[in-house]
Amino acid sequence: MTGDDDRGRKHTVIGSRTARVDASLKVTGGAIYGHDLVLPGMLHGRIVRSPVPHAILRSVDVSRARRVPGVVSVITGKDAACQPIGFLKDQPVLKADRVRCVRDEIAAVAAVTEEAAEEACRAIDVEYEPLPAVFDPFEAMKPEAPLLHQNAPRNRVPHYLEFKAGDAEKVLEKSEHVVEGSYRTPFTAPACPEPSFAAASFDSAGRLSLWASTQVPFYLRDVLSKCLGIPGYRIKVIQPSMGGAFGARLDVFPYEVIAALLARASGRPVTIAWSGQEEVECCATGQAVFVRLATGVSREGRLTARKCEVTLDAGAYTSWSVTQPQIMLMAVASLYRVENVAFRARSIYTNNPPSSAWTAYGNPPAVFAVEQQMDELARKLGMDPMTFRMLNANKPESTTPQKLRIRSCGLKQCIETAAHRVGIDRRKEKWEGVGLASAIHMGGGGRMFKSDGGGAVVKLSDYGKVSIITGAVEAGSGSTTALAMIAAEELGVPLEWVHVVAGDTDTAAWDAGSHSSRTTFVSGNAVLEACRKLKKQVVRHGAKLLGCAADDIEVKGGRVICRGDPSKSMALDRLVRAVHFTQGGEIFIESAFYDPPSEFPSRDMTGNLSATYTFTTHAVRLRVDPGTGRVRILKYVAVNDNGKVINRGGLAARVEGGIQQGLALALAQQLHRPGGEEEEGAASPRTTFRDYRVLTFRDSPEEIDVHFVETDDPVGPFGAKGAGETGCIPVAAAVANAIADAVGVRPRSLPITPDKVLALIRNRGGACS
Amino acid sequence: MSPAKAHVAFSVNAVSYEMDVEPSWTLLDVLRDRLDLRGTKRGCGRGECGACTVLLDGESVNACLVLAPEIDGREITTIEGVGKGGALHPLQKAFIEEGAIQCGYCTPGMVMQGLHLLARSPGADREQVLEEMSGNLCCCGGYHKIATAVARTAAEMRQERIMMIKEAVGRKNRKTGAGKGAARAQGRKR
Amino acid sequence: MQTQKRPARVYCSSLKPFEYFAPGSVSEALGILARFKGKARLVAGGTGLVVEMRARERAPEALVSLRCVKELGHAPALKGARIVISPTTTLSRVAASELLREKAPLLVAAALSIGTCQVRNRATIGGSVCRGRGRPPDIAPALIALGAALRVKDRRGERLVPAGDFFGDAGDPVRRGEAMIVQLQLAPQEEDERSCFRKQTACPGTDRGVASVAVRATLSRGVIARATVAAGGTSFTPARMKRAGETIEGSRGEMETLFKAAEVLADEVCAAGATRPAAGLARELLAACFIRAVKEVLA
Repeated sequence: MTGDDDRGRKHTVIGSRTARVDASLKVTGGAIYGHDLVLPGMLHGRIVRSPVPHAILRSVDVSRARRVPGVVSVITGKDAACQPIGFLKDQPVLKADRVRCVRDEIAAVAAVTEEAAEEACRAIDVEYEPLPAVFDPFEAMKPEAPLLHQNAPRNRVPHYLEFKAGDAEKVLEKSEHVVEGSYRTPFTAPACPEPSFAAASFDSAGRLSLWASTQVPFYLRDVLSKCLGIPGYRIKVIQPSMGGAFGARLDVFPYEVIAALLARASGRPVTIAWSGQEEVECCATGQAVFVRLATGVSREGRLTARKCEVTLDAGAYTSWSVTQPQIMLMAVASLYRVENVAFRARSIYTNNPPSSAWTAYGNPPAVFAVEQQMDELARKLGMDPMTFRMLNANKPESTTPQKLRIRSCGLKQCIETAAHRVGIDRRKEKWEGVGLASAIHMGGGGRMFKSDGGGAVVKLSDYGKVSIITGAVEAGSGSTTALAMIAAEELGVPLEWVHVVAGDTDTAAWDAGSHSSRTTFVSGNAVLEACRKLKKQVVRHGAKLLGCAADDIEVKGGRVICRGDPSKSMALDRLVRAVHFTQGGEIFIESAFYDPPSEFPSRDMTGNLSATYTFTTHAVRLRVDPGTGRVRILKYVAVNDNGKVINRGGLAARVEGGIQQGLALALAQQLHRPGGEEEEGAASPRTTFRDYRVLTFRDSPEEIDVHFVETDDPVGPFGAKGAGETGCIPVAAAVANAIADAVGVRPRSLPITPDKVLALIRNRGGACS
Repeated sequence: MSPAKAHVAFSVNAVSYEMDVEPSWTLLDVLRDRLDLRGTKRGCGRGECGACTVLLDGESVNACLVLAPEIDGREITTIEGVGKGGALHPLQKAFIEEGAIQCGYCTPGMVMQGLHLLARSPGADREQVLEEMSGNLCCCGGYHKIATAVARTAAEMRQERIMMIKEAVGRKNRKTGAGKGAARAQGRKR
Repeated sequence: MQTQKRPARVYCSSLKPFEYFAPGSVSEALGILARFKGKARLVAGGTGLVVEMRARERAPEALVSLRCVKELGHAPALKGARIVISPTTTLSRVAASELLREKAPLLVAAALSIGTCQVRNRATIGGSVCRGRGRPPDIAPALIALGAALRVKDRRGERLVPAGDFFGDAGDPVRRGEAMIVQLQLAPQEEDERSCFRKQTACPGTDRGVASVAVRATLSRGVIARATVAAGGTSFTPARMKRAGETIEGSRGEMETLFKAAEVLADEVCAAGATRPAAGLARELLAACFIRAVKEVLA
């Protein structure tokens, strides 16, 4: 299948429905994930964790553990020499004096077998002096609340974010209609299918290799260097295939450093492979968010102002969650056109598990509030939800109050198309509802670090094989295939000839990491640039070898052809061989580094943090069961502007995946504190996969319709924009709007579980949950 | 004194093995750590996610819940045994073509459960697929395309049987004397 | 606050070692159980036991496998007026049995509501009724409604225990590893009978039943002539709900009657010793579950 862009150029590979390049390996069980790794002589590492949420550690006695047969090393906070980690460097890797949440790492064991390691862990005796604990950020801010960190009075994380544009307060007072509300989303767990893993090995010269399922191999290397006091050039980070990440692998976590500490202490490779239970209970969480929002609108239906206050539960230590307000601001200041915005965000320490990045980095809870208020305002105006949104839709080549520079923008078409495809005007049965919600997200990288760059090295071999070596990580989203397709398109070779090499930090070109849906855009542009350089070299030699002008040379179908005289042509691999095997020959390797034209946000939260933006509108038709409170999704429509679509099948799959994940967040997912209250209906307070409510086949929507509005972005490779996260952002909002439509009362907290729906139905016309 | 090992003789993907196993090991441990067959994945460890699905005498089971001594005299099929001589099984081809693979961690389990379904209910429609595959979780949210791949293969294979499974089940039936009920569940031709 | 010692939180993939036996007969199995004085457990499918052992909620010193006990290997069969089922019959074989599909569809529906396909291919009906007292089996209401009884054997002899009693104190010796189930028996459902088993879960994505209801009824010209109702849930012992059954007798399933019957059911559940009063979500789900089961029976 070919696709035309509106530059009139036909693409051979781009835009087609291509099988993923890693598909055949994965479907035969041949992909090697961290858990499958075997290192000669490797030991098994296990971590001992605190069962109490807040306590002083009086003593940690490892003498019994050391005597367990098969145990090689045992380490605790007292003897592990390393620096703290975390966004504000407030998390000791192994806690020596104090534990601040259930699951805090106290000690670790490396042993010859898993059984021995586990037995040794259970033989470690710890004495605690419990301290009062706090689990609610508002409680934690009170003067009498227990203090978690000395440098954070009232448990306020010293990273306060505030943004102002215009005068939202005054404008709201004068607005024709104002809607106000409070919204809550709970702690969630990314629930990666592959449990966390890290393996460390020091070679005989003391150089460290670390295998990790990480989204940020170069950052991990930097943190290891600082933490362990090893020069960076003596550290290598390698990624095996990853079984999903969803933001949970975006930071550096204690277990990764602990693997290295155990390897150092035992003098042998050590692998730490979590069980599924440990993954759900100990992984980096998505934080609990409390949003207070007010939106104003003029009589004509134009948005006038938004005022927003966000309180985030950072958990016991800081990770990326405290920077998420920068992205939440996108939904408040840049989703639809609004000139006056006031935004404040604070993160609070509590004894909950530390929260990090979760897919789309805070955008979903913000959209949950913003888009519900859009519906409420539409109702006050007597306008239908589609028209109201289209009236306020962002326009291409515009700048938002936050200074985001929008390039291509298909939001208006997305809204209209979504509404029509879901049949917004079709008659609804009783208890049926339809809801819309849109989102704006980063599509041209995301400058969350000072550099947002990514490099690529492309090599053309004497068999015509194109090897791409990037630092770009793939966690399963399919970006690797997109990169391969870009190279195949530019170099005019069959996709089969292209191989994306799984690199490590020694061989791969530096990359900021896999986040913000940046890989296709940033690494794609780097790959494109490197391929263009290669192509020039090929053309130069082709012209010489075929005896025609360089302008006349075409590279396609794996051949170099003379346009004027097509009988003059040569297979690409033959050309390369000819150039290799000659006096003073050349090799075909080129590199490129692409750092998008964007800005690191300044202290006042303004700055164009991405080179371009993606837009999406979701529309859902659902039915509520008034007897059980269950929600059945009848039809789910997602219309996406991700620029030019590179891999049509792959992108649709990722968007569908995002929708399913979003539905789980909307209807089912919340993390119970291990050891926390029993919920009605739960047989055990411990959290398992089922209890954690990963949705199953049976919970799938009856119909999913993914559609693309292909704008041609001026900055993206072949006009493409980033895409990995957009599928899940507006789901909860669309579902909430549809439930409100069906029941007449709005859900204000996630997840919208059956008991909440039943409460909504009971309270119709009155209070909400 | 540590408890005695159990002696087991079994086959995996038509290759026979005989060994001593700790009773506290599971089939998953034997496959991955003793036989180096790592295509079967470790997931939740509670029989909830289906990542460790293999066929035991033709029936899909969670390998993490089968104690090692229980495999004595049994035939096991894993993802490594699917497809013949390097050629992909039609179900695997369908997974690739339908875009049913994202991170791939659930894929081996999905394929094995899919094969079980295709053998038991060859005429399965999409509804049945959704129902019978609900013991396999996909955290990447790939259900829609996975269901399409399985339903498509079911439609294509309506008259076919998977030779390996059919033979294994037939042998088992002769062994235990399981009755007509079991035969009907396999949908043998009348 | 005072210093305290607490066991650390350790996540285990492995199981604590145990002795393993695969006896060839029931009496051999009972002998081993007796030898270990309650510290040994029978294992058939193992799907429940292995999960508990991995989570270190249980650590038996020995496991006694039933896979070689030939006496227990038979398929469901009709013996006189009763259907007899071996306790080691897997739930999927229960669901696939032609005899049970025809003569005990209620049991088939209950078996299919448990776990997943993979779990059902290993989990046995005997294993599923032996869950701990705090975890009443989902299958219980179906067995109770079918008037099932379990033949329980120990070294002293055999006795027949009605299903309802088994889920209470009478089942304790089996749960303690001092006796074993050797047979389940139940009466075939009538030819003209309608039945429905329904399990209600709290939330999508979980198969943990909050409430399960089994309803059997014979209709006479669209009117419920005779009804049997049994219910189970996470907070009460599964039992026959006589008054709820009586309430729907003589009706055609009018909403008023159904709501009233649901109230009666909730009260009966409390009387059956609910550890928490059936209130809030549990009460609503039980009501919805029951009303839909009756509606399906009438459909």
